[in-house]
Amino acid sequence: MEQNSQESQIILAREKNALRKERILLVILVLVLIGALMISLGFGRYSIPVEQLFRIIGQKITGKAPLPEDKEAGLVLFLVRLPRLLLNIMVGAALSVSGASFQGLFRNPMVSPGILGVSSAAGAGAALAILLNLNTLGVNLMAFFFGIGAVLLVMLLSRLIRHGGGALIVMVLSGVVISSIFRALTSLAKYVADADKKLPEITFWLMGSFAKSGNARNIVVMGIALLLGVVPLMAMRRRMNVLTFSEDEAQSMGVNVKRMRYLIIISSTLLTGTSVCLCGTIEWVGLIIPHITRLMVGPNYRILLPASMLSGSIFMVVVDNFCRSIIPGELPIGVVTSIIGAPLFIYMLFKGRKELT
Amino acid sequence: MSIVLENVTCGYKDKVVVKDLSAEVEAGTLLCLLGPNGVGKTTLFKSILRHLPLMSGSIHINNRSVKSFSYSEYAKLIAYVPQAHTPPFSFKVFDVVAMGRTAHMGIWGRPGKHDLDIALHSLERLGAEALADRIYTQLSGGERQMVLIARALAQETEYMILDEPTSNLDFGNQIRVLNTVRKLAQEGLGIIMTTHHPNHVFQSQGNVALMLRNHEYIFGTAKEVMTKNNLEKAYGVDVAIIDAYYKDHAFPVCYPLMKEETL
Repeated sequence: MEQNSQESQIILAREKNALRKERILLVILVLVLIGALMISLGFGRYSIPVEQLFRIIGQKITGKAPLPEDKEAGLVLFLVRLPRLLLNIMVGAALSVSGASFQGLFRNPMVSPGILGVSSAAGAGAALAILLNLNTLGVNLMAFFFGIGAVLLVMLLSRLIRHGGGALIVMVLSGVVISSIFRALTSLAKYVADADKKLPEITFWLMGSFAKSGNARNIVVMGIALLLGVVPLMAMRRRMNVLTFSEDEAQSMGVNVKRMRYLIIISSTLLTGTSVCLCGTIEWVGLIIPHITRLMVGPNYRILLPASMLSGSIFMVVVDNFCRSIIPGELPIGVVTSIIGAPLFIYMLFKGRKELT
Repeated sequence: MSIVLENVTCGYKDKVVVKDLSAEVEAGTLLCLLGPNGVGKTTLFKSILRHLPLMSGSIHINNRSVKSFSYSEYAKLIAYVPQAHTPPFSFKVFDVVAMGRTAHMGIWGRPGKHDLDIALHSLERLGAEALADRIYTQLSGGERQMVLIARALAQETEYMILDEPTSNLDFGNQIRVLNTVRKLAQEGLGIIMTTHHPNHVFQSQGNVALMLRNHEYIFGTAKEVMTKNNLEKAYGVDVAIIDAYYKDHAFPVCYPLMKEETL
């Protein structure tokens, strides 16, 4: 008995230690994010040296009038670069947190936040809006409501079809079907679009970009969506662990499975839908960031969810730096995330073979 | 203090699987559900666990209809041990066991020191504390089953339901798990378990509900129910029940016969 209690002391101490390590890791990720943000503020085709950067920020904080030679840099910083970076951070977090949550809900690490059709439907909505000559707000709204509408349709369909247990698999299949319909609509829109003006616009939108979206309105919109989506997901994150076993088990451990399923779908769809409608379809982030994070911190949602959010933000900030500086124009970020993401993913599959089985 | 099944009829949509089954499990006793494949053992489990609604009849636990409990109340009353399976993510064993505390924790589901103590104690009760730091998905089938039982213990319930806890286990692990289950019943838990091994019914020394294909159910002690006649009716093969002796101690062994053995 004496030995037993000694052993339990060791195990409990180790648990406490693990929790402390997780907290330290989160602090490190926050610091890395702040570092990436600071570097990126100066980075770009209009380069701002570090000392000028700090001087301008200092002036802004203290409310002093900017020096004449800092005026131009200040405009770039506060009107262009900072809003764009803030949006990078929020969209990266939103896509990653919804990807991680969906992977838990569907008990499959290969699931992306678009599995229920939100991204492809948003793409169709945007393409249609561009065809109809709507302004940016119109494009955003169409994309958003198409995205949300598609997921509602999937939920309705799976409610009508399912019998007995397999609710989740029916949902995934409905998602595949609905996605393919909307992708066909998008192709149709591209086919009939005017090849000089509208087709490039649609194509550019579908590949995703922050080039036109970094403004105050979008930051407010994204900020609200982030708050509404992330709070319930974070609150449920320990229960998500239970959900990854099976819905029957989760229920017998006291989880209201149905309510939780809908809450996860609604929150994640809000996050992904808002991201996609503001910045276009950005592939891979919602799939690989939770994956990489899982290899880093393990599968426990207690730490996985916040760590995924931070990693997603860091990833998005870094990748968008490439997009806006590698060529004189703009690289679409969806292309870059795929080009960087796919090899990274394969590398991880090699490295993490054991963890995946 | 008991689970009482009264004329339970359950099944899917328009297919009745179990019809008019009555049985009872008291705290501190063990009930085995025995019967051929497809007779409705799993369906009955799902109904007791409220994953399937009852078609008619009633289930009462401690004189209260099961319909009246909230999810978390129910999870504090009755725990479910599924067959050992492999989830997609590689959780640490201690984390898996601590998940059993979900119903006892608040909305944020954050385990306190008390919860961690209980999770650890549950592992210790099964002599499985050495597994605490291992990865659940890398354990053997027998070890995984023990971890799932520990998780159910961490729920601190009065009753436990086990779905074929000995299936897919090797010879030795089967009896280890059975020993554990019987010990838990002796320590006060009311237990319902399904099994495919008639001998496990004898060895568990509890009651048994033998389920036959024509919606006929025989409920009683192992000695009463586990007769040659009943088992032959249940499984449709010839069965011999033999008295075996080990160190001057006689116990019944059930043995299904092959064709040439019946001659």
